[in-house]
Amino acid sequence: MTQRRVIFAAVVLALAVVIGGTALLVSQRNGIRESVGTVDIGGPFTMTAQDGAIVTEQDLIGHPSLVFFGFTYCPDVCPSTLAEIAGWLDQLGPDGDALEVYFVTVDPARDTPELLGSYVGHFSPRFVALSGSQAQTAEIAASYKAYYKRIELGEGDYTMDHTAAVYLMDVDGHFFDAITFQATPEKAVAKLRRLLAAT
Amino acid sequence: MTLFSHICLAAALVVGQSHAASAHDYAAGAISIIHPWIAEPPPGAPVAGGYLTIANDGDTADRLVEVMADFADRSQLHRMIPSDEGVMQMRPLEDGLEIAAGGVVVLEPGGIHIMFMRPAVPLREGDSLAVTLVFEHAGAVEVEFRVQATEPMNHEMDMEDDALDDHDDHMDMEEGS
Repeated sequence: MTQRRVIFAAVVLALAVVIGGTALLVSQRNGIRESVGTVDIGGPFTMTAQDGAIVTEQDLIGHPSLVFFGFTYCPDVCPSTLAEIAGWLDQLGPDGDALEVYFVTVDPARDTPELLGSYVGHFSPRFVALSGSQAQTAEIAASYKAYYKRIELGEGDYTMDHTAAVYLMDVDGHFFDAITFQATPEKAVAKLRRLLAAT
Repeated sequence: MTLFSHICLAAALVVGQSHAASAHDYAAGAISIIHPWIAEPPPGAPVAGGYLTIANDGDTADRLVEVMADFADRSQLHRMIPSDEGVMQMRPLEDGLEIAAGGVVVLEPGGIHIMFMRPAVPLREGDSLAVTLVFEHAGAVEVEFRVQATEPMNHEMDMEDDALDDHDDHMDMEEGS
């Protein structure tokens, strides 16, 4: 009798751990995509825009913002995402006028402010490109929990692994939501409308 | 791919069998190369992405092992590695790209692509660039990549997406000539 009880308790405990653990894992993963305020994204940074202006986290306050990390030696994801963002803004029209879009380079060694200016300018005159020293880049990435890493391609070439989500920040400069790389324009624009409605 | 895409592909293959290349297709033995294109990069961008569809009508697998372009300092085949954490990882296809017997491989934004590094000329919509594709069995094929505006990504690659098909019709591209 006692032995059965012990086994039963052990099974219940094991199940609880599995269920609880799964719930925690799921909520953590969903947190970065769907929730408001449960993930600590956003924080201090000091970067330079393409026109030489200094931009800090204070400059995000007063308008909703999109923040995306990438680099210009990126043949596919970064240009595609910037083109997508431009498409979202077109769809929003004047409703989205208050949105500021920031493209943050994770590759300041190659991405100068001048190059960044012409790069993002190709997609929209509204985009702001931010760059900084390696230390400043590390700081902004840490604030946004954005991952990046240099990967060698041989012959002196390299690419950067990087977080591809577009971060939505509200008028107070706080994290609102994220649009993942795979999101359809419909989903993305819906999230942007919610961001704008929360203004 | 949708049924429509399959029909377009079949049509392209039928047409592409002859060496008189139609519209924008090429043939080399059992291999058909359909609509090679480059996404127009921002001016001065150090890299550009190249895409195309490859069909293998033969009984044995073939492999695209090399891409050579005079206009670019270096060309490499890359794939995107999916990641749960939303981290973009691009890796070279060290052994090239296999096309199974009877198979079709589509290189498209967000998936497999050719990275053309340090183009020596500006790449603007409408331009055509000569590129040689080298296949293990089919050999070297010279094709022209057409520069066109960045295409929307194929969002049907996302499992959790609802069934909106706005972006899946990539076979539309081959009709432009």
